Amino acid sequence: MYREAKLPSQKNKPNHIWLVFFTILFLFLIGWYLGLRFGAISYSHQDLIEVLRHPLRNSKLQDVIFDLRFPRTIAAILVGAGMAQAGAIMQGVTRNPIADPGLLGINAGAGLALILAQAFIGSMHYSLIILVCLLGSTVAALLIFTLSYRPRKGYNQLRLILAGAMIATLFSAIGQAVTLYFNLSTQVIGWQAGGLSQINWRMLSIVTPFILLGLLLAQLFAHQLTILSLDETISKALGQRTLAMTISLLAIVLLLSAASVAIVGTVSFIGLIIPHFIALFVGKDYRKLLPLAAFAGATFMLWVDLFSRIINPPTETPINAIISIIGLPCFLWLIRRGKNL
Amino acid sequence: MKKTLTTLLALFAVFALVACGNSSSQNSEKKSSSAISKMPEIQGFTYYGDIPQNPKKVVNFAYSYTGYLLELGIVPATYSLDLEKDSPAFGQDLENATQLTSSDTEAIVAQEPDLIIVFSTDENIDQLKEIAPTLVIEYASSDYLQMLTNLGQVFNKEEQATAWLNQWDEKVAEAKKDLSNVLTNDTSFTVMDFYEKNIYLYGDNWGRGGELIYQSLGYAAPQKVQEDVINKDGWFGLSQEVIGDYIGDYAVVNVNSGTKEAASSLKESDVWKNIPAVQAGHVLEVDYNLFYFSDPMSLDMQLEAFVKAVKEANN
Amino acid sequence: MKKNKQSFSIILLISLLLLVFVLSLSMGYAKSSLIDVIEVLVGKSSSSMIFIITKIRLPRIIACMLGGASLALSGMLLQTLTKNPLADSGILGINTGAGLVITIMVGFLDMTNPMTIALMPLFAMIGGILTIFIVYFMSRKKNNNISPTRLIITGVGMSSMLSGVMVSLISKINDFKMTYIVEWLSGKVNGGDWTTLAIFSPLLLLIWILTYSRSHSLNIMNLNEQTALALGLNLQRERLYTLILSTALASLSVVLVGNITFVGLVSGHITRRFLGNDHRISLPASMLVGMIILLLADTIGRILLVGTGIPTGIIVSMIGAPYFLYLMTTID
Repeated sequence: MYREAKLPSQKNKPNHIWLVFFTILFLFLIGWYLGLRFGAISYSHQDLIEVLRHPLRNSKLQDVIFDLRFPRTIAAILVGAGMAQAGAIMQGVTRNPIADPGLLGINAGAGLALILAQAFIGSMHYSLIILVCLLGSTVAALLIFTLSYRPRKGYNQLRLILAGAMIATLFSAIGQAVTLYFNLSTQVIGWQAGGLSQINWRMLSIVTPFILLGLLLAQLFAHQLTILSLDETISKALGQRTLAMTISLLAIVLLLSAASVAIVGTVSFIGLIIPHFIALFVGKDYRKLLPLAAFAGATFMLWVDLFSRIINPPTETPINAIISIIGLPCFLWLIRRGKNL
Repeated sequence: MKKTLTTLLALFAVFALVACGNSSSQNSEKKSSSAISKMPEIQGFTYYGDIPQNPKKVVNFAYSYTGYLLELGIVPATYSLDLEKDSPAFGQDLENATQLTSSDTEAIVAQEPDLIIVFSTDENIDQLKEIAPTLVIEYASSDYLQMLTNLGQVFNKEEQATAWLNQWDEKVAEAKKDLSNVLTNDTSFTVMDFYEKNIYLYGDNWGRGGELIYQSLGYAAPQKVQEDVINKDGWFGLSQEVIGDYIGDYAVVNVNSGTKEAASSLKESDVWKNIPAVQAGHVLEVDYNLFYFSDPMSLDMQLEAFVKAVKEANN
Repeated sequence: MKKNKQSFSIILLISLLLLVFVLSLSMGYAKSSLIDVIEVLVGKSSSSMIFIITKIRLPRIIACMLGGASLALSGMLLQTLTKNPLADSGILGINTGAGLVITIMVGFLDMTNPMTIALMPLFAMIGGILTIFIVYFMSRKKNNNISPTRLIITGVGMSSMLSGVMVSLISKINDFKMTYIVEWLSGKVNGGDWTTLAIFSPLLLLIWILTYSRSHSLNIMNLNEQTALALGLNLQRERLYTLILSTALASLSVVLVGNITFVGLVSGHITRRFLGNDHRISLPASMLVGMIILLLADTIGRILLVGTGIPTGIIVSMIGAPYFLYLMTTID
């Protein structure tokens, strides 16, 4: 129907992609290996191989590796990939470099839902917590969609973003009020600080299908996303149904980020920074950007989780603190490169 | 335009009626100041103003010491932490108390207190000083039993303090005898609670039962707990991976309705299930609301609850 | 005809303000009423009542008025500057920018020292200005136009990032002040004491006057670029002044009243709707509206929400956000 648009920035970069890919792969594998081996307890290489060879033999080692570290690292991979992709998609859809899934109210919706549930139901089993968060994110996103839809004019970027920002602020305010009123601060602070501790296979089983589905769908829509991220008139001229595409892509963002947030709590920055880093090497062709961003996001999370466990064993440093410390300089550096955003 | 105007005016008329209706023109007499406390020099206690010996209206923000005050017969008029009201040990004594935070200056003044008690880390001490005589206490500056004696000295209730301490010693000795067929002095306990995504261990002076078990009853702590918790900050956040290293013979887990399901993922995992104490059924779940504080009134009830829990775990 | 409507509106606003002021002074957690206020004025009241009214309520009310007016003013300036009715110091990240600097100061310095309080305005302004410059540069499009969407997204993104950094930072530097910062982020009116007011009121009054003196230029800025240039306006310079003034206003306000968003937005919108775009009227009017809004929210908080610790900013958000959404759905 139309020729593949090849962006000017891409014409000179074919080889970089493989270099980037292999670098990330390398970091990924090392990160995973180290993540399994180190933590509050450090195991030797021998021990790890032993356990991997005999997964069913019961031992303390096996307990830690299989019940704790494996699900944890897999969660890091999934969440990192999911959040990074969600961020990349948001930036493409809104054509803005600082768009972040939080603008769709994901974080605020999940947070408020959790707080309300804590206030009225009390303590909940983790599977219920995940469901509540998913529900909250979805309700928030739907609310935002509805509020920004005008019957005859369809969607408008500005309205969507504004609705998102407002709902996020409103939910956040209500959440704080309820927390203070019902004295829930100690109960909710863990979720708000975010973290990968206490993730087990069951939690993964609930959340993995969502994230995998989201990653897959995103890849299928990647080319459409590239077109959408160009100027609106160009994409329309190229024959794209921008409205339908926007909604579908945002739905994917919801899928990816709601599932991530439900399991890990609020995690910022990944969706913001990772896509930009990758875009530096790969340009804005989303068919290449998305998978690489996902991969890079996964690697990033693996390393962040590793750090949180080895900085001060056996205590775990909160993930958000580590991400902020890394993220802020990265963000400032990105600003300096400003013109190409 | 007219409609908005009229509605606005109506609203404000209502407002005005409410405002004028709430008058409290009765000029309250100053509380007849009775004796002033001796204000003994105690480490960690700072006095601002003339602390009354028998305060009639106490605004208390140092929630750790509510139980102590109540034991000495002083009933605070306010509380600041929900846990105070929820305490099975003394919650009902606070039935008529109002909840305030230390920055609700106006409400505090309205209480017309003759004494304000506050932690040394509070940020509003300067303002509070100007409202009423203020007693500032540094947390953990005195040992949990010593605190009773200290407060007794300040409020001229030394006899009550000594009386309680004596009967406490007797009760503790009796309890130890009672449990001596299942517990020895070397039995190790680990005190912990769970929050979403976090596990915390406590030492011998941070509530949650630590004072009772380690100090009063004198049971032991596993070596790692001794090193990392008791000898350091008194509390400690922990990764699941090593929790087994920190649990000895018994684990004392504080739960309440708000945290019941927290750490369910830990409890379902093999790491937890393979801990010897867990396998032997030696996990004592105690009421968080009761074990949070370590004041005399809470301690009395905690002792009973503890003895009961240990007996049940050994049946 | 228009003049009459304008004067009428101003008088209405002033009377509203007076009404709210008096109500606010009379009501509070302590059972009291107008009669008590009069007694204090006359000098016949109990000492605790005098204490409450003069040392607690009055400075707090004045802090709210100063903050409300300045935030409203800041919002108006930003709206004219960006030609976008949705601009507000909180949304654009200025508030949290100042907040970051405040965090650093609170973490390292002693807050009760008057020297610290005196230095706050300067540093807060620096924080605010840095932030708005970053936001501006990040949201510029290739042809130097400011797209409202980009501006707002960038502002919101910057704002949430900075608040995250603030919390992480304070927990590392000085954990005890964590509550202070968290409450600041929700909009807690902390500037209600005479020392702070003594330092901030002259500063703010000065800036108010400076701002009002620019009304004429602001009116011209509202027109399109070519007309403005044709009328001899040095656009770049005026824009810079306006930016600095509005940042200063916002930064100083948030030191007094915490991170309160929406006041600029809502008062700007109300004022423009009823009084049009002439800055000579709309600036003072929006100040009055801002004062009323913040004072009302604070009074509600003081009366209904004692003991819960719910800060004023949350109340403002709960009024402001739905209002904004309503705006969005009824207007295009």
